[in-house]
Amino acid sequence: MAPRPARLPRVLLVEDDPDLAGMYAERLTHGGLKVELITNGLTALKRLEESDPPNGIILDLMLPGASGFDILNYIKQDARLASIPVIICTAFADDSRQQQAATLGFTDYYLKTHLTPGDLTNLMRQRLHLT
Amino acid sequence: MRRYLYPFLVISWWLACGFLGFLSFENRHFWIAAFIWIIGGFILTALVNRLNRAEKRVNRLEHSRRKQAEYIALAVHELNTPLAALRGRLDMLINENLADLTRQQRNQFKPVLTASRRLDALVSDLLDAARIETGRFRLRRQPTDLRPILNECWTEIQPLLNQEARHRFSLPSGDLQINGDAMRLRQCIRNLLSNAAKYADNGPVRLVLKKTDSHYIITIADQGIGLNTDEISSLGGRFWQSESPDRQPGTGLGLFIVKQLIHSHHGTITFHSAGLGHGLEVTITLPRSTN
Repeated sequence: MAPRPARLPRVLLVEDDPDLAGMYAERLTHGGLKVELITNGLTALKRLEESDPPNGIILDLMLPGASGFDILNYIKQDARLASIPVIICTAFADDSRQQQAATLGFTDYYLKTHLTPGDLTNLMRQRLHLT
Repeated sequence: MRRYLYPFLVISWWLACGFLGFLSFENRHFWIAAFIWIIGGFILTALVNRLNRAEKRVNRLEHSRRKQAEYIALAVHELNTPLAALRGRLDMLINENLADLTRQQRNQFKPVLTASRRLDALVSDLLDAARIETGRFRLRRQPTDLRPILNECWTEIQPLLNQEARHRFSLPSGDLQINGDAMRLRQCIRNLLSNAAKYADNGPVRLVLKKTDSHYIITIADQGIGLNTDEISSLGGRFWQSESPDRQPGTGLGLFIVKQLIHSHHGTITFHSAGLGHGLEVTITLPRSTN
């Protein structure tokens, strides 16, 4: 009997811009990750309340429904999610948001224009100890 | 501040007036006590009103500065979002070749990638200038070695230089430590070198660093189209544009940002040109690390 293929690591991609969401999803999938795309902050919060958390999270900050910081606060308070790597990928280039995220304990903060989809995929694979 | 200042003023007033009034009353000079009380009351009210007005003005300015900074952050966010999609897709097409493009097709896309990088640099310049204007510019200073920064910038600029010309790159031996923000110092050197390469008119470019006891002196110079001597004093001003037809128009923010960055490092920057056709020499001084 052939061995069952290993389950791909699941990455929750929270991104509301359709062009970027499509591009990141395509590249992450190409990089061997299973992508679950959510385009609304509130839906992302509801998803994180469910019993099967993702293996990694890629998070935009400016989202409809609830902001990326609402999601970061939720992740910080929920012990089940504490060990999940979170990569913040935002178009906000100001230091204050980066500092705010660092204060919450999230230091993987990247500007979208400076992180190519390939870099993002490699980074997530590193955080998931796949490379 | 206000929390402590106003009660302090009022309590001081009561104590002072009470004391003077008591002395006057003791001496049976009741009218003098009343006079001091009333005049003092007027003066105190006027003073507190004036302080209140000044404070409201400061609060209004601070509020407007915060709004301005937030507006700029949002504007940059809106510019960066489509730019990230553009750069990301181009990177997947050209550098990762995920669409199996032919070499010719990839080459055709390369100028688009270069243009998107320029657009990214322009957005960054606008954001830096806005940060400087709104007083929200922060350096991340730490012990930094200038040598790799200068080496890296000099290597980067090579494709833009005429390889026939006799360029000069000279660094002294020993450590080149500085307490500075490496990313911002790299931005300054890169900007000045790319200007030198752009206006060198195929002539030589020079990057020389010298050490004194207290400072590093970095000179970046070309022998190209130069500047009118009367324009030199305006160089590094915000939105400055040369009147020379040989100079390419830009946003006028690059040198403004460089100047502010060097000043933030407690350094100086000076420009010298012997006139049109005689190139431009930029001299930066930066304090050496004391430890």
